[in-house]
Amino acid sequence: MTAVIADTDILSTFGKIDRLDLLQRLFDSVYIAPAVSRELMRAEGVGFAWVATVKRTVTLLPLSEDEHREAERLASLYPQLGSGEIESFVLAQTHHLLCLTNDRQAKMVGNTLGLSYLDLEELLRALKTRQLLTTEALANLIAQIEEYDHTRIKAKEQILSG
Amino acid sequence: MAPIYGWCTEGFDTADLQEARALLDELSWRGSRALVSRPFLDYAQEEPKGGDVIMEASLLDDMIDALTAEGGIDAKTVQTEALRLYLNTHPIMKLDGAISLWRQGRISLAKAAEIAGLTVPELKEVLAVRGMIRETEGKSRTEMDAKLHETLP
Repeated sequence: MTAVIADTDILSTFGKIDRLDLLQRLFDSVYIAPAVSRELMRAEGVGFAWVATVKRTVTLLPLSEDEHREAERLASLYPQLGSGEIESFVLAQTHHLLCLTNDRQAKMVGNTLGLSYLDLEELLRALKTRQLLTTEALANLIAQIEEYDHTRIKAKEQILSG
Repeated sequence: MAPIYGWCTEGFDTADLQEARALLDELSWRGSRALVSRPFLDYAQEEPKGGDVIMEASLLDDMIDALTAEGGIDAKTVQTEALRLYLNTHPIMKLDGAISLWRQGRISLAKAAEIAGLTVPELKEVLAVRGMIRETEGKSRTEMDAKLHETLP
């Protein structure tokens, strides 16, 4: 079992279909960075009701002064990333956390920084290999994500196979 | 007034018609100058408007050159700041620009949301409304299983 730090995108993908429990079953702890927390609070303020479940599921991890400084340094090095991604990477470095992100830019920077991450396809495959969902239930989950998160899961057959 | 003046065939030496002629000449002069530099005329003829005078592009270029030469201001800085101000007053264009940068793979979705002044969930809804379906990478089972073996022992 592993501790992870998730970005807003991944949390909203599972949050809007009310399946954040799957992240809890896959991992020991799910953390979020302060910037992600602030963004989620804003999202809740404009009407995204699923944020209430996210707040019960995840733990906010504050940044130390050193981590703040490192976040500022990374933000200037990687202006293509959002503040939530930058803070998550800093916390992942210092707390040895696995990152959950589905963003290509974030994954590229994560690779450069030597961080480990799982994206949406890999998370879905983990649900299969860890036998947390049956193939049928996983197929339904993928269909829900495609419908409600407006995301096409290109590796659908590969995720369900085996 | 010009057509009415044109109907007149006599009386050009009267005070009224002389005044009308003078006014038409003045308006004609202003009109011809306005083709060249209406903002200058507006500025010269009217009370100052506090910066809302519309300038031709050529004059803007000239002004930037003048500021660069005499004001010690970097032209690139002026142009960047002007564009920033423009985008800040046109939020839809700012949103379009952020989405374009994201679609071109130059920024993350979270960064695009920040630029547009939205949260990621809001931006995802905007993309959906615009019919932009996101796609995952499409990895092979072997790739995914190797990654999971490495990261989730």
